[in-house]
Amino acid sequence: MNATPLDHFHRRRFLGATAGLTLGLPAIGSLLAGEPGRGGEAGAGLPHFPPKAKRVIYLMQSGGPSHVDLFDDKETLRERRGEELPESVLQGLRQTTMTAGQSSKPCLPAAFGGRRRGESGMWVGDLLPHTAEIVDDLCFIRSLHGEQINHAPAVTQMLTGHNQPGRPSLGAWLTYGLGSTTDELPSFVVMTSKDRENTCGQLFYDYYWGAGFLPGKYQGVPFRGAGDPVLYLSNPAGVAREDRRATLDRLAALNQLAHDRYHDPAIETRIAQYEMAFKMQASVPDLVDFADEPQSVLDLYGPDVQRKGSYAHNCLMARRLIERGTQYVQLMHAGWDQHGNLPTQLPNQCRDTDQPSAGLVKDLKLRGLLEDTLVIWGGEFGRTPYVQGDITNKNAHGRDHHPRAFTIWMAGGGVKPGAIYGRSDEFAFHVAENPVHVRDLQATVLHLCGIDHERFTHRHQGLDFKLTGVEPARVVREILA
Amino acid sequence: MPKSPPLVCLVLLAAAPVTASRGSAGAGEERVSFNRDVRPILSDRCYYCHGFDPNHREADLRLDVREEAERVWNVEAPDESELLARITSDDEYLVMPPPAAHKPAITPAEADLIRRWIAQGAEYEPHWAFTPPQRPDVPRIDGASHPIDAFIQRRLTRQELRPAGPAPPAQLLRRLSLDLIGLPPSPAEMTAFEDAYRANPDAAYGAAVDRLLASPHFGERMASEWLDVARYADTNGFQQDLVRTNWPWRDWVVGAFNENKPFDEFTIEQLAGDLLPGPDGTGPTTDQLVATAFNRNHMINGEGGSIAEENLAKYAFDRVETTSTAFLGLTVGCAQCHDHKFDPIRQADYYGLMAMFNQMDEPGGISKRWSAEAADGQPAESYGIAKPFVSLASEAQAARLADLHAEVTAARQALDAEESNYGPPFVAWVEEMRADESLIAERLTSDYVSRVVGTAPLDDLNHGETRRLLAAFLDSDPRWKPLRAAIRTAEDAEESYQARIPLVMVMRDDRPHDTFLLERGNYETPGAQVAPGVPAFLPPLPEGAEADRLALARWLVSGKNPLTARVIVNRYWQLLFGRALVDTPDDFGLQGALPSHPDLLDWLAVEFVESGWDVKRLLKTIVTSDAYRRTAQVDANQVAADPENRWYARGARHRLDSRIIRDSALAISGLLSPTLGGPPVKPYQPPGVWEEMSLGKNKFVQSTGEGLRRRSLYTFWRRVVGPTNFFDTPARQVCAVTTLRTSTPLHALTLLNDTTYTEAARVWAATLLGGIRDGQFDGSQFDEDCSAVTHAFFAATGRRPSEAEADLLTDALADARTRFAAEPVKAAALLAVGEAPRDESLDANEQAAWTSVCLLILNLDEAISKP
Repeated sequence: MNATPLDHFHRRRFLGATAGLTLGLPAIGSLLAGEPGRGGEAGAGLPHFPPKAKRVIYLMQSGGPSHVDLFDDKETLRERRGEELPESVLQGLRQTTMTAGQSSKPCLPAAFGGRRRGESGMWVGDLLPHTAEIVDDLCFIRSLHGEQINHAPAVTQMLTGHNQPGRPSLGAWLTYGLGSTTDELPSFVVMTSKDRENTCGQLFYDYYWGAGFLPGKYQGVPFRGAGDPVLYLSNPAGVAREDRRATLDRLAALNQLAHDRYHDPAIETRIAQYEMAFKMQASVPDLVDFADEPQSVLDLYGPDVQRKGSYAHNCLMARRLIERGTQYVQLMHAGWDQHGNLPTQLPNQCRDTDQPSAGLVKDLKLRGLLEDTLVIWGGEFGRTPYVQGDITNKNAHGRDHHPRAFTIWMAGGGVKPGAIYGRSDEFAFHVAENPVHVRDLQATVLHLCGIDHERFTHRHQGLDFKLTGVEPARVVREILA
Repeated sequence: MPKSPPLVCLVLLAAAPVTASRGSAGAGEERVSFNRDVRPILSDRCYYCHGFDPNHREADLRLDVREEAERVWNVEAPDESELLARITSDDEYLVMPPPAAHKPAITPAEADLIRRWIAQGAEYEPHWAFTPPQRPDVPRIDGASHPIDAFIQRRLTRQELRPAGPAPPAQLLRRLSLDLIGLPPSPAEMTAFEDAYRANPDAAYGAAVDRLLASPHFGERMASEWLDVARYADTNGFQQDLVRTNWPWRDWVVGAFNENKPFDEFTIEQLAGDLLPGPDGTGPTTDQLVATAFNRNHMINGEGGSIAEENLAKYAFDRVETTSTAFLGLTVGCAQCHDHKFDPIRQADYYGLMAMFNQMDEPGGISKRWSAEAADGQPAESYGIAKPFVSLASEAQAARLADLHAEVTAARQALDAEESNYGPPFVAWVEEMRADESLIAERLTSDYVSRVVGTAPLDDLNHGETRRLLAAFLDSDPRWKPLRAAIRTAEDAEESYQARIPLVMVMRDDRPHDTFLLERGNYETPGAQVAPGVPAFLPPLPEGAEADRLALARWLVSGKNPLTARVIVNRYWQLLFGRALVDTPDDFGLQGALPSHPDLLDWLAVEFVESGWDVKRLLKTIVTSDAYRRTAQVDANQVAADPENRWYARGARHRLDSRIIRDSALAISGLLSPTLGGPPVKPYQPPGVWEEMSLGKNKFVQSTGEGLRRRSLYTFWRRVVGPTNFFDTPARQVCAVTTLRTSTPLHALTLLNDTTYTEAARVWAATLLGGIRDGQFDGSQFDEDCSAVTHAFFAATGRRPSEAEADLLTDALADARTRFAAEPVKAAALLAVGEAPRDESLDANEQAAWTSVCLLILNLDEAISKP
């Protein structure tokens, strides 16, 4: 190695003259997603009208929860248990290759009992006792429908408005449109969990929370259930927080000198981002430490709440995130794909998710946050009202995917509490009344956030894209509070 | 189905030569340009309803064709034109665009442009990108001897901008090196270059350009960009995200750039290598077949319930769209469902292209699965690919594979020979379970197999359910268990050997069939039959040519195609300057950006074609311009005068691609492995990332040794979750030609905390300490520190630190020394990061202190930016 000649300057060194380097950094905005407290990058005019929902928590139930067993009991199915679903209902519609070749499609009614609950009289399966307690805070849509019959395209459609990967997700659109309200945490956070038995096969693709063609900073930041909650959050071994502070102060001073040389605004942004990274290193551990939660609150979320990576843990994390300024939290819970193990797995799945979901709504309500926080609970589709496999085998049968009519619920954030909207037919197969397409749901969510989906577009490759795509979509005004 | 629009479309009409002006421009009034001024307004606000797509046309009015639009204006009395009345109306029921269209209103300035344009005769011009580039005259400009500089300077003069001087030589070499080989020059290379540059700048610079273009790392750098275009990845994506072995195609790309394969050949071989006659007329070479993996790099859906026919349509869509974006700079995806709203691309054009890409005997799902240890002894990985594919086995490997396969066959036959012996007891065994269900749980462990006890047809041993039951039975019986085990052993041996031999998915037209337009892009609703062909608005295929992929490939690079050369030179300009001449490299259509320097773009395109599509020559032409060599050290006024550096008055400074940042850190620290090619590697990644995304199915097993230090190009790219320490990179799910450059705290966390950078810092620190120990840095203790930090700063930035900067660094060093001396345990922990061995003879506290300084330097804005 050749030493570099010191030919540019001669100087005397000052010993121990380290001035206390503190960077009086101004609160520099536009760190994660737009300037805190101001509209997002999407520009002027947003929100289009005052939002009812300032924050959104999407409890994505991945795999396709059975609407028949949980919310959509039908007398006809009960009467015809084991009888063939009429051809007039099936209409030769396409099924997945898993049951397309199954010659017999016998009716399978709700398998675990259930009853009407609350003042709304919403029928809820007995597998969801905690959800049943709060039906009068929830707004059910029993007539949601889409076209996609397989997981990845259906989830992609539900979360990005298009069945192929590559479009911005709902959370990216919202943070792009509305900006952020925190400079210590990401505006859009994603957390994943799975059923304990790990029976299901769906993966989580990063385009489920991607930014598509929007700038990359709008993509959801995955918080992880193990290791660092955010990738690369922890300093390397042997580097303490004060060591990092000292390094960052000098780095900022050096970058400032570089700015004086190049006058490149990107350098100022870089200085701010390193500072924000440092803040995140403190705020995230505080976020994930539940020590300050009283037992009564922990109890709302059920016994799993302290288990990192569990759905219950993530539900409480969601509340803590929105309290700290994160605007969009997307939970992805896998395990609802009961093709052949409905009798054994559906109860497990409900047990893991029912109390935390209901607990989150209760907790938000107690804190007065439910009013302007929209909670959405639902899968990418429902499940067939006919059986997959052998109905006589007590333990091993199930239901196939079913996007033609299924149920989700929403709470808070400007939706009518205790409402039931739409109805499926007597077989819980087709929508009978007040259809709500996936696009309509998306238009409605944007509306609740103060955004007119028709006017919220982004120019890409010469085209104006919007979340709801090119087909007509309508805001479901009937469910607005 | 909707009727096709008349074939005589926009361009044919609009391309009619501009006739003598019917109106007259007022004296001294600047002429309004249709392309520059008017069409962008019409295209953005009007064409959606009054454009090319007949299905969405309102009031039977189209404004994209002059003859049809004439009725809405009056050249003699512009103010009486209905067009003007409508776009300036206050009446919400009359105004255009109507409020319901949610288009921005026409501003008074825009209306005035349109009024003047009408007054000047309302002339149309053909869309610039759809007419072939002509070699423009190079302007004669004093002091601009290079044609590029003449074009740039002409514009600078118009913008009243003064160009900055040349970059300091070391920074210039750093810029050039990062651009051409994706690696920074060493300090020794920079000082040598400084010396040579002092003697003769142009000769020194020219020699450096030639040296870098000849470097084997040149091909790696160029391939990195092309892999993004080609959505290359090492897995299939979707549900199972199985591993594929298309990496020999990646090596083919590196080799093609290194040997400077002309870009027309590069294009033809990738799109249609399988249709080439080969060097001796006996068929394509293996390399030419491998090249066609370009259009097999798309995702493959192996999801359980997915429908093959639907998948096949989607794969063909992907090939059409990737090919169009990569070579034509057109976004044709809209035409999957309907005629394009803005560009003259009909739905039939889309499916005419698709008919060239769907003639393969491919399964729609996975046709070959295997699971085996990788060559470096890593645990089993699940592979899955779709035919057609070629095996890249050597002769010896093929022979060995045949032997292993024969062993599998023999083992299977040995068991089959026993069928008459195991058949009856098997049937009895099942019937016992049917009679007594409690036996099921006793005998069977698999849920699936338990479920099929009642249904498996016992008279059909090949039935899927029966086969699974039979397997359970044989494994339970000591008479046949060894035979089953022998089969498994033989199969495992075959599979693990197979895993060492890459199988590359390629194109092959071995299932000719008809193509139908798909209504709304849905495979279930085929419409009219479509013949293979190229979009009608572009020049036709040569008379008599069979409309296949080979004809398409040749047509793209025939030189008559108005788009390809422009699209390609635009992307290379983007690679060198960080921004493209056409700001929308993926859209040269009517909604795309206009070129900032149209003549320069055309000059480069014509040069490129006339040079024989010589990529190295194109790059050399560009980097030898003054525009490329300017300094980025300019004052605030110069930045404010052109914040985006759109006119190139100063050096193009921007943050490096995150993959180059990683390679740089490895290079500067001395860790980088120079090895070219081979199977992908799995360098450091935080534990659990794949597992979390795949619900535990995909296990990440980190590489060891050299695999941790290879260039980023070779990092294993799992499509479901890409490499975690890259940022702003395309997802490699679809074709990507635009550069993303965002800045978030997550990037800072990556560069500060990822093992890659910490390890690089500590290894670099050891080298610097070794230098100090060996007396390479002169002077006393303090001067040694100062000299060493100067060296390090120079290595990372191409610039020597100012006194203030050196002070900050030596202060940081002194601070760190104090901290580590107080807590040596921290030093030990820091020095244990990463797998590179540590030189135990170095003082741990000292090395740790230097490590923290090196990590700081690697994070300097200038270290992660192109100077």
